[in-house]
Amino acid sequence: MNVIHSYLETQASQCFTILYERYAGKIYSKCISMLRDEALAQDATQEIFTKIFLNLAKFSGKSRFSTWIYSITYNYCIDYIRRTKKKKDIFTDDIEKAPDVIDDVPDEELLELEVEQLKKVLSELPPDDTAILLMKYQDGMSIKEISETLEKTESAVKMRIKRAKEKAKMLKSELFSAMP
Amino acid sequence: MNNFQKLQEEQEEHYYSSGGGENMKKELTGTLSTFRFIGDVIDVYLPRVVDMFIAISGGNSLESGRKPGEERNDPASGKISPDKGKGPGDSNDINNIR
Repeated sequence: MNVIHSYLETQASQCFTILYERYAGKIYSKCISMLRDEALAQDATQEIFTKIFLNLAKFSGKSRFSTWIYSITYNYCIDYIRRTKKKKDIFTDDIEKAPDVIDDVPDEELLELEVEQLKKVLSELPPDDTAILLMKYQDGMSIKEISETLEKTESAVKMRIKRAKEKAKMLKSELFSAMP
Repeated sequence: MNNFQKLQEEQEEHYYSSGGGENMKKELTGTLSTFRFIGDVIDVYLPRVVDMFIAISGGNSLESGRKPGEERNDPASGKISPDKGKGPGDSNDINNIR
């Protein structure tokens, strides 16, 4: 918080460097997981960072700074996919009405995957499912924080997580069950 | 640290080792400096442009630094307002010279 205030007051390059070095890699990591293209992810990281610095004064401090930054990142990637890949159904409201019929997949099913396997599974999942799994397991965001980020109800978020986990489990068995 | 966080760490390392981080830092610094410069230019010139439009439309523009309601010295009227400042043209200046 001190670094943010210092940057806003002095526009000092040291504060910029601190914030950049702390978050640039993380933002890039999310962008590449969502957009699945290195060049696109680099461009997106740059645009997201510009957006963050231009809107830094709007950060109220109600949430964690990292949560605020990741919200901007996920929403940027979701908008980009909607705009360019004509995937307008990404995070649509159908999940709000969906009945709760899926059995919960234990977290261990996903957390026991090797990093390379996880990378493969995430690259095969739809981007909205990837995003919600990253929010939950990578960023440790609470259901409330995810629902605020996506502007969805908490029950819709829970349902979306369940579905994403189910899809990831299916992909895992498809991709790796035949392996010795 | 779980496998999701390890994946993030791996991708971060790749990002920094590929040199993308440094290039982007330079580009971002340039972009933000440009925005700051544009902001500074607007800060300096926008009030003058607004004043100019007010003057063109026949109104009296407020001079910067003058408080609203404060009387203004108008040399053409011959009146001197009881101002507190000691600027050029102050009646006391004349007395001092004499």
